Amino acid sequence: MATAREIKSRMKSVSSIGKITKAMKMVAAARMRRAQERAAASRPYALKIKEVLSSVVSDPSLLGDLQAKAHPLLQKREVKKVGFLVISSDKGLAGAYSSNVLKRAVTEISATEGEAVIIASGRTARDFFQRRGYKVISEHLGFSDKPSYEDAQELAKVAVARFAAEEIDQLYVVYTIFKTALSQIPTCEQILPVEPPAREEGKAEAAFIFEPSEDEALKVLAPRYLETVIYAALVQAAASELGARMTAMTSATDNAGKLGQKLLVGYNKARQAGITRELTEICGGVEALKQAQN
Amino acid sequence: MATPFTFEIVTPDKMLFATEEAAYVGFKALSGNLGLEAKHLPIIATMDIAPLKVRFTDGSEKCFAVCGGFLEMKDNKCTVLATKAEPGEAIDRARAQASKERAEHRLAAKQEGLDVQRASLSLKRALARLKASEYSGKN
Repeated sequence: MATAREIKSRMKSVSSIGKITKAMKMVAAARMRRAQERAAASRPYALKIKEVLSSVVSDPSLLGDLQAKAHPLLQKREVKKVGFLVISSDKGLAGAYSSNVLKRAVTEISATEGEAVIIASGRTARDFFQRRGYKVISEHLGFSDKPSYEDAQELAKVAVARFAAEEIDQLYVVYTIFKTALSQIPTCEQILPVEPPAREEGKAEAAFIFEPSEDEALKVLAPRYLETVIYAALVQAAASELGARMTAMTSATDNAGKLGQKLLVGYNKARQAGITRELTEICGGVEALKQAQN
Repeated sequence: MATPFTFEIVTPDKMLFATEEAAYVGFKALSGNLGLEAKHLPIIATMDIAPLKVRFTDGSEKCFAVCGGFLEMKDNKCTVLATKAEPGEAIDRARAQASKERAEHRLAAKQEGLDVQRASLSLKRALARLKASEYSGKN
């Protein structure tokens, strides 16, 4: 049995760990709320740009020879190398968040036939794939829990450059969709070549005038659209990361509390046992002295 | 009084500006200056980096610096999709001036390895911001 002093020092460390996890939980909760707000604020732009893109590609004058006239980013070609943009976290202590998204990525990678290359966003993703000998062609660190639109632009720029250089023929993004703080779903979506969103059936649209032209619009629109999709994924992933961290830290705080209780009981027992032992020793000593005097 | 229409500016991180009372929108498309009023035919315009002006039904005006993007108008609703946009009065004029001079210097010096495209884009942005800010300053 551990001595009272040993138990005391463990209690101290457990309670200070509990304080830290509690603080982390509160920070994660506050930031998760903000990340959710950001995700909501980015939605109107994403919806609208999707709408414009679908208007452009479904314009009668482009229809039919879309494939021929299309912007390079929309062109399909034979798939030899498949890129995976894996979005995970920079820091740990977020429960199974990183391992879930990485597991999903590995499943997707083993399901593809071509050669897989990785664009890693987040330290955990980079370390994971480098350790396992995958080809990591680009890494982006430091913004996993607070992505800005510029970060998405940077990622899009890399993706476009690699795609143009035919280093990748297809690009998937693997990230985590935020449902609630308790449920986040790892997902995989194709983002390159850009699949123009289908127009809703039965919605007769007026023909647009394009200024200066559809081609010109598509040239600007395609990379913009890619940025928007990546930004949406980053924002979702950030909210998920913070949500997962909050949940993990909540249970860590609970566990620290429970463990503290257990240790306290153990400590009291040890202390009492010590007192009892001392008393018996003193009594025994007194008895022995008495007998010696007689 | 001019017929009002809905006008909004949306950027990736937020809805920057929205009004129901716009009467006229003037901006620069890649092909040149354009002005739209209510009930314009459906149009999608690709915008240049330039100031954008809105006139309201009460005659007052507001100016924005818009860094490229799209303008869509249909059903009497005009939406500007800009990667970056700032209202004229929020622009730090000294900073814009400084970045304009910096870009000009860089272009004039013609150093080896200069990213001309990047420098001229940055000059364009600075000019748009300056103009938008000057315009808002007058009112």
